[in-house]
Amino acid sequence: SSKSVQGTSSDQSSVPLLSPQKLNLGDVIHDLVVSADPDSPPLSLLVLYKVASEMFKVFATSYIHSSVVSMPQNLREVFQNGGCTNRDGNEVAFTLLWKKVQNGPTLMINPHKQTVIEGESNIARYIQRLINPDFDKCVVGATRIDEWLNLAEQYIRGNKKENAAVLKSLNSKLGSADWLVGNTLSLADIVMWSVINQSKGQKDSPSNVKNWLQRCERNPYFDLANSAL
Amino acid sequence: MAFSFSTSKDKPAIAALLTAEFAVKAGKSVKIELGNSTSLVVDKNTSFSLNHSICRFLARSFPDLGIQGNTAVEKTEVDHWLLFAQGRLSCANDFTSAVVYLDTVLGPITYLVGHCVTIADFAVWECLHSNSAWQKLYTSGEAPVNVKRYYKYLCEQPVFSSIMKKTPNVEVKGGGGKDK
Repeated sequence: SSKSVQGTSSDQSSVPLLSPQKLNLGDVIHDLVVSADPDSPPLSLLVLYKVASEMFKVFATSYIHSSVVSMPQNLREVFQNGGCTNRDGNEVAFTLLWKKVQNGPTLMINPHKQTVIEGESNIARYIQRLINPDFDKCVVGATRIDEWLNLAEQYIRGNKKENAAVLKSLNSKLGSADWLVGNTLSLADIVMWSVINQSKGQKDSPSNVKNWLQRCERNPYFDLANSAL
Repeated sequence: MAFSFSTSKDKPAIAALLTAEFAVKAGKSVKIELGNSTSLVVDKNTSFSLNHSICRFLARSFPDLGIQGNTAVEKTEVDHWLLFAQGRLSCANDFTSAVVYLDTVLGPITYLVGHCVTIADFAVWECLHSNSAWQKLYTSGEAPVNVKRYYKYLCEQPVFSSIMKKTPNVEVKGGGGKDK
Protein backbone atom coordinates (compact mmCIF):
# COMPACT_ATOMS: atom_id res chain seq x y z
CA SER A 1 0.00 0.00 0.00
CA SER A 2 2.99 2.31 0.23
CA LYS A 3 2.73 2.61 -3.54
CA SER A 4 -0.66 4.23 -3.27
CA VAL A 5 0.25 7.77 -2.32
CA GLN A 6 3.39 8.30 -4.29
CA GLY A 7 2.26 8.80 -7.85
CA THR A 8 4.35 11.59 -9.23
CA SER A 9 3.71 14.63 -7.13
CA SER A 10 5.76 17.65 -7.92
CA ASP A 11 2.56 19.70 -7.98
CA GLN A 12 1.74 21.55 -4.78
CA SER A 13 -2.01 21.46 -5.07
CA SER A 14 -3.24 22.87 -1.77
CA VAL A 15 -6.84 22.33 -0.76
CA PRO A 16 -8.02 25.04 1.67
CA LEU A 17 -9.85 23.73 4.74
CA LEU A 18 -12.10 26.79 4.84
CA SER A 19 -13.86 28.61 2.06
CA PRO A 20 -12.44 32.13 1.62
CA GLN A 21 -16.01 33.45 1.56
CA LYS A 22 -18.47 33.58 4.44
CA LEU A 23 -21.03 30.82 3.76
CA ASN A 24 -24.74 30.90 4.40
CA LEU A 25 -26.52 27.64 5.25
CA GLY A 26 -30.02 29.15 5.32
CA ASP A 27 -32.43 29.70 8.19
CA VAL A 28 -32.63 26.17 9.52
CA ILE A 29 -29.91 24.86 11.83
CA HIS A 30 -27.80 22.22 10.04
CA ASP A 31 -27.82 19.06 12.18
CA LEU A 32 -25.01 16.49 12.20
CA VAL A 33 -25.44 13.47 14.45
CA VAL A 34 -22.30 11.39 14.95
CA SER A 35 -22.28 8.09 16.83
CA ALA A 36 -18.86 6.96 18.02
CA ASP A 37 -17.23 4.49 20.37
CA PRO A 38 -15.34 6.13 23.28
CA ASP A 39 -12.73 3.34 22.98
CA SER A 40 -11.66 4.82 19.63
CA PRO A 41 -12.79 8.46 19.71
CA PRO A 42 -12.85 10.18 16.27
CA LEU A 43 -10.43 12.94 17.26
CA SER A 44 -10.65 14.44 13.77
CA LEU A 45 -14.21 15.48 14.63
CA LEU A 46 -12.91 17.59 17.53
CA VAL A 47 -10.36 19.27 15.25
CA LEU A 48 -12.94 19.90 12.54
CA TYR A 49 -15.35 21.31 15.14
CA LYS A 50 -12.73 23.97 15.89
CA VAL A 51 -12.17 24.65 12.18
CA ALA A 52 -15.91 24.81 11.49
CA SER A 53 -16.36 27.24 14.39
CA GLU A 54 -14.37 29.80 12.39
CA MET A 55 -16.99 29.68 9.66
CA PHE A 56 -20.22 29.00 11.52
CA LYS A 57 -21.77 29.38 14.95
CA VAL A 58 -21.59 25.76 16.00
CA PHE A 59 -23.60 24.29 18.84
CA ALA A 60 -22.06 21.04 20.08
CA THR A 61 -23.42 18.55 22.58
CA SER A 62 -22.61 15.01 23.57
CA TYR A 63 -24.62 12.19 25.11
CA ILE A 64 -23.62 8.83 26.51
CA HIS A 65 -25.68 5.83 25.47
CA SER A 66 -26.42 3.10 28.02
CA SER A 67 -24.36 0.60 25.97
CA VAL A 68 -21.19 2.41 27.09
CA VAL A 69 -19.75 0.88 30.25
CA SER A 70 -16.86 3.20 31.01
CA MET A 71 -16.14 6.67 29.80
CA PRO A 72 -12.90 8.60 30.37
CA GLN A 73 -13.50 11.92 32.14
CA ASN A 74 -11.65 14.01 29.53
CA LEU A 75 -13.96 12.69 26.78
CA ARG A 76 -17.00 13.26 28.99
CA GLU A 77 -16.15 16.95 29.10
CA VAL A 78 -15.72 17.40 25.35
CA PHE A 79 -18.51 19.40 23.70
CA GLN A 80 -19.94 20.95 26.86
CA ASN A 81 -20.26 24.18 24.86
CA GLY A 82 -19.40 26.40 27.80
CA GLY A 83 -22.63 25.51 29.57
CA CYS A 84 -24.70 26.95 26.72
CA THR A 85 -27.95 25.02 26.32
CA ASN A 86 -29.73 27.10 23.72
CA ARG A 87 -29.59 26.07 20.06
CA ASP A 88 -31.12 29.37 18.88
CA GLY A 89 -28.93 31.59 16.76
CA ASN A 90 -26.58 28.74 15.80
CA GLU A 91 -25.97 27.64 12.22
CA VAL A 92 -24.66 24.12 12.75
CA ALA A 93 -25.36 21.59 15.52
CA PHE A 94 -22.90 18.76 16.20
CA THR A 95 -24.43 16.01 18.32
CA LEU A 96 -21.97 13.38 19.44
CA LEU A 97 -23.56 10.21 20.73
CA TRP A 98 -21.09 7.95 22.51
CA LYS A 99 -22.18 4.36 21.89
CA LYS A 100 -20.92 1.01 20.66
CA VAL A 101 -20.83 1.05 16.84
CA GLN A 102 -20.04 -1.94 14.66
CA ASN A 103 -18.28 -0.49 11.62
CA GLY A 104 -16.64 2.65 12.97
CA PRO A 105 -18.31 5.98 13.72
CA THR A 106 -21.43 6.93 11.76
CA LEU A 107 -22.94 10.19 10.52
CA MET A 108 -26.60 11.01 10.00
CA ILE A 109 -27.76 14.28 8.49
CA ASN A 110 -31.16 13.52 7.03
CA PRO A 111 -32.52 10.10 8.04
CA HIS A 112 -35.25 10.17 5.38
CA LYS A 113 -33.00 10.90 2.44
CA GLN A 114 -29.68 9.17 2.99
CA THR A 115 -27.80 6.03 3.86
CA VAL A 116 -26.10 6.09 7.26
CA ILE A 117 -22.55 7.20 6.43
CA GLU A 118 -19.87 5.02 8.02
CA GLY A 119 -16.22 5.75 8.71
CA GLU A 120 -14.30 8.55 10.39
CA SER A 121 -12.79 9.60 7.05
CA ASN A 122 -16.24 10.00 5.51
CA ILE A 123 -17.55 12.08 8.42
CA ALA A 124 -14.49 14.27 7.96
CA ARG A 125 -15.18 14.58 4.21
CA TYR A 126 -18.73 15.74 4.87
CA ILE A 127 -17.65 18.47 7.30
CA GLN A 128 -14.94 19.48 4.83
CA ARG A 129 -17.59 19.93 2.11
CA LEU A 130 -19.73 21.94 4.53
CA ILE A 131 -16.94 24.41 5.35
CA ASN A 132 -15.43 24.51 1.86
CA PRO A 133 -18.01 23.68 -0.84
CA ASP A 134 -15.24 23.96 -3.46
CA PHE A 135 -13.35 20.98 -2.02
CA ASP A 136 -14.19 18.66 -4.93
CA LYS A 137 -13.25 21.35 -7.45
CA CYS A 138 -9.63 21.03 -6.32
CA VAL A 139 -9.50 17.92 -8.50
CA VAL A 140 -5.90 16.76 -8.00
CA GLY A 141 -5.55 17.90 -4.39
CA ALA A 142 -8.85 16.39 -3.23
CA THR A 143 -8.02 13.07 -4.90
CA ARG A 144 -4.60 13.03 -3.18
CA ILE A 145 -6.34 13.74 0.14
CA ASP A 146 -8.64 10.77 -0.56
CA GLU A 147 -5.62 8.50 -0.95
CA TRP A 148 -4.36 9.47 2.52
CA LEU A 149 -7.85 9.09 3.96
CA ASN A 150 -7.98 5.57 2.53
CA LEU A 151 -4.65 4.80 4.19
CA ALA A 152 -6.06 6.17 7.46
CA GLU A 153 -9.00 3.74 7.20
CA GLN A 154 -6.58 0.89 6.48
CA TYR A 155 -4.58 1.94 9.52
CA ILE A 156 -7.67 1.76 11.77
CA ARG A 157 -8.25 -1.85 10.69
CA GLY A 158 -4.64 -2.85 10.09
CA ASN A 159 -2.38 -5.18 12.03
CA LYS A 160 1.03 -4.16 13.35
CA LYS A 161 2.88 -4.99 10.16
CA GLU A 162 0.39 -3.25 7.87
CA ASN A 163 0.43 -0.16 10.07
CA ALA A 164 4.21 -0.05 10.06
CA ALA A 165 3.97 0.13 6.24
CA VAL A 166 1.55 3.06 6.47
CA LEU A 167 3.90 4.88 8.86
CA LYS A 168 6.75 4.20 6.47
CA SER A 169 5.00 5.82 3.52
CA LEU A 170 4.02 8.76 5.77
CA ASN A 171 7.62 9.10 6.86
CA SER A 172 8.85 9.08 3.30
CA LYS A 173 6.36 11.77 2.21
CA LEU A 174 7.18 13.90 5.26
CA GLY A 175 10.88 13.69 4.50
CA SER A 176 10.40 16.26 1.75
CA ALA A 177 7.27 18.10 2.88
CA ASP A 178 5.80 19.60 6.07
CA TRP A 179 2.23 18.55 5.22
CA LEU A 180 0.70 15.58 3.42
CA VAL A 181 -1.01 17.43 0.56
CA GLY A 182 0.01 20.86 -0.68
CA ASN A 183 1.97 23.27 1.48
CA THR A 184 -0.47 23.72 4.36
CA LEU A 185 -2.56 21.75 6.86
CA SER A 186 -5.30 19.79 5.08
CA LEU A 187 -7.97 17.21 5.86
CA ALA A 188 -5.37 14.50 5.16
CA ASP A 189 -3.22 15.66 8.11
CA ILE A 190 -6.20 15.96 10.47
CA VAL A 191 -7.55 12.45 9.83
CA MET A 192 -4.15 10.76 9.73
CA TRP A 193 -3.13 12.51 12.99
CA SER A 194 -6.39 11.32 14.53
CA VAL A 195 -6.05 7.62 13.69
CA ILE A 196 -2.41 7.47 14.80
CA ASN A 197 -3.28 9.04 18.15
CA GLN A 198 -6.27 6.78 18.68
CA SER A 199 -4.07 3.73 18.35
CA LYS A 200 -1.31 5.28 20.48
CA GLY A 201 0.88 4.86 17.41
CA GLN A 202 2.91 8.03 18.13
CA LYS A 203 5.58 6.22 20.11
CA ASP A 204 6.28 3.74 17.29
CA SER A 205 6.49 6.50 14.69
CA PRO A 206 9.64 7.25 12.71
CA SER A 207 11.17 10.70 13.19
CA ASN A 208 9.58 12.64 10.31
CA VAL A 209 6.19 11.38 11.45
CA LYS A 210 6.89 12.35 15.09
CA ASN A 211 7.86 15.87 14.02
CA TRP A 212 4.76 16.18 11.89
CA LEU A 213 2.49 14.92 14.71
CA GLN A 214 3.93 17.69 16.89
CA ARG A 215 3.52 20.24 14.10
CA CYS A 216 -0.18 19.34 14.03
CA GLU A 217 -0.54 19.55 17.81
CA ARG A 218 0.92 23.06 17.91
CA ASN A 219 -1.86 24.27 15.61
CA PRO A 220 -4.67 25.86 17.71
CA TYR A 221 -7.27 23.86 15.76
CA PHE A 222 -5.98 20.81 17.67
CA ASP A 223 -6.46 22.28 21.18
CA LEU A 224 -9.73 20.50 21.95
CA ALA A 225 -8.52 17.19 20.50
CA ASN A 226 -5.29 17.49 22.53
CA SER A 227 -7.34 17.91 25.70
CA ALA A 228 -9.18 14.66 24.91
CA LEU A 229 -6.00 12.58 24.56
CA MET B 1 -8.43 18.37 -21.29
CA ALA B 2 -7.61 14.91 -22.66
CA PHE B 3 -6.59 12.22 -20.18
CA SER B 4 -4.80 8.96 -20.89
CA PHE B 5 -6.09 5.98 -18.98
CA SER B 6 -4.43 2.63 -19.21
CA THR B 7 -5.27 -0.54 -17.31
CA SER B 8 -3.97 -4.07 -17.16
CA LYS B 9 -5.49 -6.45 -19.72
CA ASP B 10 -5.35 -9.43 -17.35
CA LYS B 11 -6.28 -7.73 -14.07
CA PRO B 12 -8.16 -4.59 -15.09
CA ALA B 13 -9.15 -1.90 -12.59
CA ILE B 14 -12.79 -2.41 -13.49
CA ALA B 15 -14.39 0.51 -11.61
CA ALA B 16 -11.88 2.90 -13.18
CA LEU B 17 -12.48 1.31 -16.59
CA LEU B 18 -16.26 1.74 -16.17
CA THR B 19 -15.75 5.38 -15.21
CA ALA B 20 -13.51 6.05 -18.22
CA GLU B 21 -15.89 4.23 -20.58
CA PHE B 22 -18.86 6.15 -19.15
CA ALA B 23 -17.03 9.45 -19.71
CA VAL B 24 -16.13 8.50 -23.30
CA LYS B 25 -19.73 7.47 -24.10
CA ALA B 26 -20.83 10.89 -22.77
CA GLY B 27 -18.48 12.59 -25.22
CA LYS B 28 -15.55 13.30 -22.90
CA SER B 29 -12.01 13.06 -24.11
CA VAL B 30 -10.37 10.09 -22.37
CA LYS B 31 -8.00 7.77 -24.18
CA ILE B 32 -8.47 4.17 -22.98
CA GLU B 33 -5.83 1.54 -23.46
CA LEU B 34 -5.60 -2.08 -22.27
CA GLY B 35 -1.97 -2.72 -21.44
CA ASN B 36 0.23 -4.02 -18.64
CA SER B 37 -0.49 -1.73 -15.71
CA THR B 38 -3.03 0.76 -14.40
CA SER B 39 -2.55 4.52 -14.47
CA LEU B 40 -4.25 7.73 -15.34
CA VAL B 41 -1.90 10.36 -16.62
CA VAL B 42 -3.08 13.92 -15.97
CA ASP B 43 0.03 15.76 -17.11
CA LYS B 44 3.75 15.14 -17.06
CA ASN B 45 3.90 15.74 -13.29
CA THR B 46 0.66 14.13 -12.15
CA SER B 47 -0.73 10.63 -12.37
CA PHE B 48 -2.91 8.27 -10.34
CA SER B 49 -2.55 4.51 -10.17
CA LEU B 50 -5.25 3.32 -7.75
CA ASN B 51 -8.60 2.08 -9.03
CA HIS B 52 -10.80 4.30 -6.83
CA SER B 53 -8.52 7.34 -7.16
CA ILE B 54 -8.98 7.19 -10.91
CA CYS B 55 -12.77 6.93 -10.47
CA ARG B 56 -12.77 9.96 -8.18
CA PHE B 57 -10.41 11.97 -10.33
CA LEU B 58 -12.49 11.47 -13.50
CA ALA B 59 -15.79 12.06 -11.67
CA ARG B 60 -14.44 15.34 -10.28
CA SER B 61 -12.98 16.38 -13.63
CA PHE B 62 -16.35 15.96 -15.35
CA PRO B 63 -18.86 17.17 -12.73
CA ASP B 64 -21.60 17.53 -15.37
CA LEU B 65 -21.75 13.71 -15.62
CA GLY B 66 -23.15 13.58 -12.07
CA ILE B 67 -21.26 10.35 -11.28
CA GLN B 68 -19.79 11.71 -8.03
CA GLY B 69 -23.25 12.66 -6.69
CA ASN B 70 -24.76 16.11 -6.86
CA THR B 71 -24.88 17.44 -3.28
CA ALA B 72 -22.46 17.30 -0.34
CA VAL B 73 -24.55 14.53 1.22
CA GLU B 74 -24.66 12.52 -2.03
CA LYS B 75 -20.91 12.90 -2.57
CA THR B 76 -20.27 11.64 0.96
CA GLU B 77 -22.68 8.73 0.43
CA VAL B 78 -20.59 7.85 -2.63
CA ASP B 79 -17.49 7.90 -0.37
CA HIS B 80 -19.32 5.62 2.07
CA TRP B 81 -19.90 3.06 -0.70
CA LEU B 82 -16.33 3.26 -2.01
CA LEU B 83 -15.07 2.50 1.51
CA PHE B 84 -17.65 -0.31 1.81
CA ALA B 85 -16.50 -1.76 -1.54
CA GLN B 86 -12.81 -1.77 -0.67
CA GLY B 87 -13.45 -2.87 2.92
CA ARG B 88 -16.30 -5.13 3.99
CA LEU B 89 -17.38 -6.25 0.52
CA SER B 90 -13.82 -7.23 -0.46
CA CYS B 91 -13.10 -9.12 2.75
CA ALA B 92 -13.93 -12.83 2.53
CA ASN B 93 -14.91 -12.99 6.23
CA ASP B 94 -17.35 -10.07 5.97
CA PHE B 95 -18.71 -10.89 2.51
CA THR B 96 -21.91 -12.63 3.58
CA SER B 97 -22.96 -9.93 6.05
CA ALA B 98 -21.94 -7.20 3.59
CA VAL B 99 -24.26 -8.67 0.93
CA VAL B 100 -27.12 -8.89 3.46
CA TYR B 101 -26.57 -5.22 4.34
CA LEU B 102 -26.45 -4.27 0.65
CA ASP B 103 -29.70 -6.18 0.07
CA THR B 104 -31.46 -4.22 2.82
CA VAL B 105 -30.31 -0.85 1.48
CA LEU B 106 -31.18 -1.72 -2.15
CA GLY B 107 -34.77 -2.73 -1.26
CA PRO B 108 -36.47 0.49 -2.36
CA ILE B 109 -33.86 1.92 -4.77
CA THR B 110 -32.33 1.39 -8.24
CA TYR B 111 -28.97 3.11 -7.75
CA LEU B 112 -26.95 3.34 -4.55
CA VAL B 113 -26.88 7.15 -4.44
CA GLY B 114 -29.47 9.53 -5.89
CA HIS B 115 -31.38 8.74 -9.06
CA CYS B 116 -28.54 8.03 -11.50
CA VAL B 117 -25.53 5.79 -11.77
CA THR B 118 -22.45 6.94 -9.79
CA ILE B 119 -18.94 5.65 -9.20
CA ALA B 120 -20.43 4.00 -6.07
CA ASP B 121 -22.31 1.63 -8.42
CA PHE B 122 -19.16 1.08 -10.49
CA ALA B 123 -17.17 0.13 -7.38
CA VAL B 124 -19.79 -2.13 -5.81
CA TRP B 125 -20.64 -3.81 -9.14
CA GLU B 126 -16.93 -4.54 -9.66
CA CYS B 127 -16.70 -6.24 -6.26
CA LEU B 128 -19.71 -8.43 -7.01
CA HIS B 129 -18.72 -9.13 -10.60
CA SER B 130 -15.16 -10.19 -9.82
CA ASN B 131 -16.07 -12.25 -6.74
CA SER B 132 -16.45 -15.98 -7.39
CA ALA B 133 -18.56 -16.39 -4.22
CA TRP B 134 -21.01 -13.84 -5.62
CA GLN B 135 -21.02 -15.47 -9.07
CA LYS B 136 -21.81 -18.78 -7.42
CA LEU B 137 -24.73 -17.26 -5.50
CA TYR B 138 -25.97 -15.46 -8.61
CA THR B 139 -25.80 -18.39 -11.05
CA SER B 140 -27.34 -20.82 -8.56
CA GLY B 141 -30.27 -18.44 -7.97
CA GLU B 142 -29.51 -18.20 -4.25
CA ALA B 143 -28.49 -14.53 -4.23
CA PRO B 144 -30.56 -12.11 -2.09
CA VAL B 145 -33.33 -10.76 -4.29
CA ASN B 146 -32.51 -7.02 -4.26
CA VAL B 147 -28.78 -7.43 -4.89
CA LYS B 148 -29.61 -9.90 -7.68
CA ARG B 149 -31.99 -7.40 -9.33
CA TYR B 150 -29.44 -4.58 -8.92
CA TYR B 151 -26.54 -6.60 -10.36
CA LYS B 152 -28.62 -7.89 -13.29
CA TYR B 153 -29.98 -4.42 -14.08
CA LEU B 154 -26.46 -2.92 -14.17
CA CYS B 155 -25.12 -5.81 -16.32
CA GLU B 156 -27.73 -4.89 -18.94
CA GLN B 157 -26.68 -1.23 -19.12
CA PRO B 158 -24.52 -0.41 -22.19
CA VAL B 159 -21.42 0.74 -20.25
CA PHE B 160 -21.37 -2.39 -18.08
CA SER B 161 -22.07 -4.82 -20.93
CA SER B 162 -19.32 -3.29 -23.04
CA ILE B 163 -16.84 -3.70 -20.16
CA MET B 164 -17.95 -7.32 -19.66
CA LYS B 165 -17.03 -8.00 -23.30
CA LYS B 166 -13.60 -6.39 -22.93
CA THR B 167 -12.48 -8.02 -19.68
CA PRO B 168 -11.71 -11.63 -18.71
CA ASN B 169 -14.56 -13.76 -17.38
CA VAL B 170 -14.68 -14.64 -13.72
CA GLU B 171 -14.27 -18.30 -12.95
CA VAL B 172 -17.05 -19.67 -10.80
CA LYS B 173 -15.50 -21.92 -8.20
CA GLY B 174 -16.59 -23.14 -4.79
CA GLY B 175 -16.48 -20.99 -1.62
CA GLY B 176 -13.99 -18.32 -0.68
CA GLY B 177 -13.94 -14.62 -1.36
CA LYS B 178 -12.10 -12.39 -3.75
CA ASP B 179 -8.49 -13.35 -4.41
CA LYS B 180 -6.12 -11.10 -2.54
